Amino acid sequence: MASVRLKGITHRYQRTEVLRDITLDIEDGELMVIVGPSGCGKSTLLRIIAGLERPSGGDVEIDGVRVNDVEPAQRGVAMVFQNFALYPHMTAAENMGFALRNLGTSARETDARVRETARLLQLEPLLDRLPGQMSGGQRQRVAIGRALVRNPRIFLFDEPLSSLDAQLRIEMRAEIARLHQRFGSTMVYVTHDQVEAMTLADRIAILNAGKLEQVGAPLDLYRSPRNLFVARFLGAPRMNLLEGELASASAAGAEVRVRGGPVLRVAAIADRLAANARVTLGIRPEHLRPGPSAGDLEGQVSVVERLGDRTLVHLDLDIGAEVLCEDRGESPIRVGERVHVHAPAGAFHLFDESGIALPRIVAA
Amino acid sequence: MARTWARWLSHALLTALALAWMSPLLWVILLSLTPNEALARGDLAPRMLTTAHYQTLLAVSQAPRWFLNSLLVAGTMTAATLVLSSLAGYALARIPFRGRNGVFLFIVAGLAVPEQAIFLPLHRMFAELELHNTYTALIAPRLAGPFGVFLMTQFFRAVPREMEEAAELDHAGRVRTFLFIMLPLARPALTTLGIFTFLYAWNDFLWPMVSATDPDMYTLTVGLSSLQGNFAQSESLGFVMASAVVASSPMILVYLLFQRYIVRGMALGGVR
Repeated sequence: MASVRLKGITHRYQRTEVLRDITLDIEDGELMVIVGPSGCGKSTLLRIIAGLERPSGGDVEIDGVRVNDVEPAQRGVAMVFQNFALYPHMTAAENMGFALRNLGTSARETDARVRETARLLQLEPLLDRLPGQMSGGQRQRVAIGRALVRNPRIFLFDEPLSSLDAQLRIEMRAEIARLHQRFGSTMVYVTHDQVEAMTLADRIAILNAGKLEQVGAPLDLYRSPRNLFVARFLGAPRMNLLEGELASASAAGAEVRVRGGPVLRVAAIADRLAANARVTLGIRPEHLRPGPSAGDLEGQVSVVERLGDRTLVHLDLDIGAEVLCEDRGESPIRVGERVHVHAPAGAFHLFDESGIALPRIVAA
Repeated sequence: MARTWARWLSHALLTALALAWMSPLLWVILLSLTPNEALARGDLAPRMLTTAHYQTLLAVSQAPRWFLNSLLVAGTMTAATLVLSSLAGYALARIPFRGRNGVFLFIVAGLAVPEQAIFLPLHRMFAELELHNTYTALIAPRLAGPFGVFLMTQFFRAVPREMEEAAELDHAGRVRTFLFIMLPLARPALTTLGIFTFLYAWNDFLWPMVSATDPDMYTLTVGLSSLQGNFAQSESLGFVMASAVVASSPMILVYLLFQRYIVRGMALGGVR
């Protein structure tokens, strides 16, 4: 196990800057998930930690030692690739033992370690199979086994579940979580799937266009996004956003006039903003409750998605905006129906004109 | 029902076409087994077949030696081409160095140079080195073939980069990665290149004819052509045909054994 420290990492491909001043501490034994949309630089950051790419600027430290000039194999890292990168001409056992053989480990010890790892991952029946004779999930487990057998200081996962089907993803996600709990290894996990990030991570680092937007525990980020990007990125379905302007602000809270609509009370401290400043109001679908009686906002139902345990209602508001709200269980709401929605003041997020979140008032 | 008929029809058509394509070969084999008297009478459906032409071929010529020469030249050329092309292809595809693209383009441009264009300087060079009538002269000029380098470069470029990176993280250096990961992956391309090189070397005629003037150094193609007299077509057609069968039999064998790879190779190398 080891800690990783990224200090001011920048990276360029020719003139394109793909990473901008990334500083991130990953603690010993932590599972850090780096998440962001496609092309945000998350895989590049992982490759820089692995040593497969050299950063244009900044330092990578492992256990306090600068490793910028250390070869990938000498960093004590193991990586699980997006497409598994298993050697197609080698059996599962040969794939898993390849690194050990390269290190000069005896055939007997290699075999013993491969079998031990295979037992842990329930791979024993697959050991003599070639990757081409395995399913996607089996290949993924062999790829994890190949990383595990070397007993690395740091595990790196580069979107390892993206090529699996939905059910298998859930199973493999749980398997990775179990591995982390069992070995307590330092893991850096890259994904674009925020559900994966929320369910696996000790902490999440959110990357956008090469810039680190926010780092923190999954629920902290969910509850207190630092800016609009994080607010929109985390959570499925996404947070609803409404444009408006500040009507009043005090230490007790703020009032926001939604564009073309009513004034809503928000439990946020906005007294640093000028009166009538443009703001964005955020509200998560699960906090926006639909109902037939009077509420803050009113509109017509355009789509109803019944998921069994909950119902998602798409609403065209009279003020011209679209929002998504969530009803518990099998909602009686029908398409075309007129409904009201309401949310408590404490459920709203408030962002200033530049998209930065304003501090929320936490109820005592 | 209609589908069954369509399949029968297509099979019948394909069989007819295959027979049409095979007919020259079958004709050559038949003539090589036909006695000279029958050939002189124009009897092309003799009652008795003979191996006399083959016996004559072995008795009057150095055919076994030429056969071995061809085998040695084609075998060595194939092995050396595989080694050189895979090394060059890997370097051009995967090792970044200054001028890499330029080197690749220069090599590919070699595909456009007809071999006859370099015959004179090549002949002169080997004459000055006093290498004519040696195996070196028969093999060496053919080793710098651009096709193999082009084929292997294209193949290695298509191998996912993660495969090599995984090997790098698995403590495999450049040489081990090449030997244990990239070369085994390249087996289909290497097989294809090997077959093409062997066939090319076996069929090679012009350069061996120019370079090898000593009958001991003839390859089979050069040797057999040297046996044809002025009236070969009219007086010893059976003998000529027996020579043709002997010369082409190894190639037919290679085609039969490796036809799957030959077709794949045509697709891989863009050969039409």
